[in-house]
Amino acid sequence: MREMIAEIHYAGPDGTWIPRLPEGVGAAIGSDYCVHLLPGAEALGRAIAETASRRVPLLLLTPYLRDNELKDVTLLIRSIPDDADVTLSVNDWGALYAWRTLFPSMPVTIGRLLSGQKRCPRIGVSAQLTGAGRAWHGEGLFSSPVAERFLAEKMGVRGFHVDALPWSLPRSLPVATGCGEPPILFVHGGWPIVTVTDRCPWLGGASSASVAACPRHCREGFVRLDAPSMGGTLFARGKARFVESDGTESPPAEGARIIHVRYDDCP
Amino acid sequence: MTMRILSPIDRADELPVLAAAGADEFYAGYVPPFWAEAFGPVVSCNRRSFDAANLSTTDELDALVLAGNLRGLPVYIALNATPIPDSMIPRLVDFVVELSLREVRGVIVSDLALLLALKERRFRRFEMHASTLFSAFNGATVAFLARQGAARVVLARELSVAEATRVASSGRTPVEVIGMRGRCPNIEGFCSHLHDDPNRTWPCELHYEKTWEGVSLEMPPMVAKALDRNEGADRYYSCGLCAVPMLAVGGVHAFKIVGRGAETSRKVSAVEGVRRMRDEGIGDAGSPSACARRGKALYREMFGRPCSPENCYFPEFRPGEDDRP
Repeated sequence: MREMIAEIHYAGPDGTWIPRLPEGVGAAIGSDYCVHLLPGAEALGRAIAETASRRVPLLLLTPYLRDNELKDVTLLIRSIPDDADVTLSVNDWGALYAWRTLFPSMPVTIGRLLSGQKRCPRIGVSAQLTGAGRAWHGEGLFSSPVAERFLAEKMGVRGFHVDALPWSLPRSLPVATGCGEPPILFVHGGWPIVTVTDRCPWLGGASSASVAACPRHCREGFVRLDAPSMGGTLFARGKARFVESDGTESPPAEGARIIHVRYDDCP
Repeated sequence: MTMRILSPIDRADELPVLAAAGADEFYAGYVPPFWAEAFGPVVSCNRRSFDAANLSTTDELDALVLAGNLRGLPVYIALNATPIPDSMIPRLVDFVVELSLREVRGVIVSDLALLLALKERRFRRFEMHASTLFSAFNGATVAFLARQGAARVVLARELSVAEATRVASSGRTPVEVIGMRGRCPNIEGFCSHLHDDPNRTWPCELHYEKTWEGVSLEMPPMVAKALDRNEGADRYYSCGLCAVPMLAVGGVHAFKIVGRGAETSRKVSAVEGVRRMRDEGIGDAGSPSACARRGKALYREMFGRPCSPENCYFPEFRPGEDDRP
């Protein structure tokens, strides 16, 4: 993230909403949880051009990937020009490993699914949890100096993505990244991902790997899921289930540069 | 090498009967007192909070390991909670050293920091297995985890037989596939549901009231049906028997059965079923339809009912049975 910004807005899988973004706000595109919600090379190129003309960075969210998908997405990333201000949010260990090797100068960050936070709304209401047990659910890779040092020094990781949750308060990011800059904490406000399935309801419960191209019918709506014991409404969209959050529980993190990621709609 | 059958085990006295049924190796749970004192009863260091799924004393652990050693069958201990708070890493490393001295063969871990810390200890003979919670969907993840010290990698449960065997044959690191009992509708490594119900009804099995908000007036029937499918599903009935012969010839090192905390008879039945499918079905490995016929017949024999899509680990053996448009 070469441009010093404080906020990024999700602009849809392909970056369709980039022209609508307020001035000085970066754009996030792609998906943390579904390979079919990644942009194609053409849409990615357009998003890079549009963010460059607005002088803001682009964050490309990437999901878990099977072997053939990793190959395809690697080709997509290869299409990013060297001088583009693009940062990858990575949710697959193999992708992190491969891209670190293939594209050592590409900024990579640990995505929300890899970061390890627990987001089930039941955590907030469970009578079974002790205070320490509840706080444990907010811990993640970002709270481990051992993991953070390894990821920064060996894997070139520049930051971590977390959700703003009442029980999740990253207290500090204790070491500098390998490039000598403070780590970036991307605090997502709005739609924490509670769980992800591989068998997409919008594909009739079939694996997302069973279709070469997806019509993305999940973009046409979502389902509210309510059960008394859950402590909050879940929202099913595509392969993910979310909770809605106003994103006001911004975690204090010493030693980190914080960038807020906002959503206008369930991603 | 013959694909090994990894069975859950909760007590030493289960070992002879599980070994006789065909188990080649075992995994168990044990929560060290310092962990339970720190986090209370729900947050377990091995993701099983109920007593039946954990050995309660080191004497029980020693008895189990001894029973395994007498038969040359290794015992592994699950330490697959994630994340592991930083303050717990040194204490868990010390605990793992103690396990190795007690002749446990290895641990199953899912936390990167713990894996890295254990790698630094440079154990000889003692193995670290990377849990399915690392969500290994591709060979690069297996290579990454092997490089960080994993002697074996448990693949994501969602991979098809073709995908799993491709990963197994493309690298040198032994891989393990989970395929019997306990199928979760969600990707375990990306699921943050709280499993705190003493009656063991989990958030992914609840019946939800559903409200559609979208472009069309009504929820697409296909979506409604798919969302309904897992509600009330009993994981005891989940199965991947049809895949066993093809996984075995495809180079998968071990086939894991879920079920710590289950009754002994259920564990034995699962081990026997997998063993029969592996040994008797090996001639079917070239034919998915023959595997499916054998697997479905064996399932009916074991469970007294036909198998169903919501409990199937490998839906490629049920062609045309999902609700795709």
